Amino acid sequence: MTSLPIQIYFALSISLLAVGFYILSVKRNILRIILAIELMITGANMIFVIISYWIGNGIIDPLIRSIIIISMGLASLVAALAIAFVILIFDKFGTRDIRKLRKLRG
Amino acid sequence: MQIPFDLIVEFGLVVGIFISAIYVAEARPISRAVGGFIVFSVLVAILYLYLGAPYIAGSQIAIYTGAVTGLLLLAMSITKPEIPEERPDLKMFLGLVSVGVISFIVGWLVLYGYPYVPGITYEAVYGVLSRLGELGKGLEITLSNYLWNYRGIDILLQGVMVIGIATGLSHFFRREVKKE
Repeated sequence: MTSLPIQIYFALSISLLAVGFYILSVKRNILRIILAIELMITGANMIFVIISYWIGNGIIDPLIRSIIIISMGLASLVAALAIAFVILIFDKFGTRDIRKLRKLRG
Repeated sequence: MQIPFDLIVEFGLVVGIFISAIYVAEARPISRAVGGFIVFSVLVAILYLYLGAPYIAGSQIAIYTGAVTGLLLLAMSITKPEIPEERPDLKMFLGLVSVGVISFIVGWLVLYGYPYVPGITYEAVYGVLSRLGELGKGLEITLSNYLWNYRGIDILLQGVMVIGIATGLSHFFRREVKKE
């Protein structure tokens, strides 16, 4: 088992989610927002790992491992799609600032 | 008292992951934020390896440190930066240092000041109530057993408090953006 109490890892995971939410709500650069999404996905994966580690008394369930690896693949898919959108947006509007995309308003 | 090596490694990993996440949020040129994300991914992979999940650690390194970071660097190279890169000032450094110090103090209190930190733990409630001595026998044991079912919430609340302080400090120390 870990030397630190398991609650600290929970707090770390929730703090990653909080930092990602902070970036999503405050920052304007699209690349930083993609980084925030990746941070939040990492925090969610970490919660899965910690819960499985806690329930299994130090052994992580293979199903959880499979789910997390699939989740990581999907996260890379999300990042690739978002970066493709960033490049398209930069070609069309010439900016990476998400608040300058006011032409998308109806 | 000798501090075990595992404890130092785990505490360093936790603090490093948190500080690198804050650095990703606040690093001014986006290239430095991507660098912080690389450090963050490597530290998370080491944490997974430490928890006994080597395949997840390998996937973390391959996907996040390799693929996602490569795509981000590609996007950075294609899209030109609009704002010229600026040197990080002293305020940014002070913000990161203060966040690290607060995290260290809270972690140290949780680890070593365990019965004396306010919180819903069995030992804390039992210790406080047994010192009063006026509530009759058995009440402290009943209350401690009842509140023990809610263990962990206090440490989570302390973590949320640390996040609140960190975001407040980062807001306080952040550079003001020029209005258009």
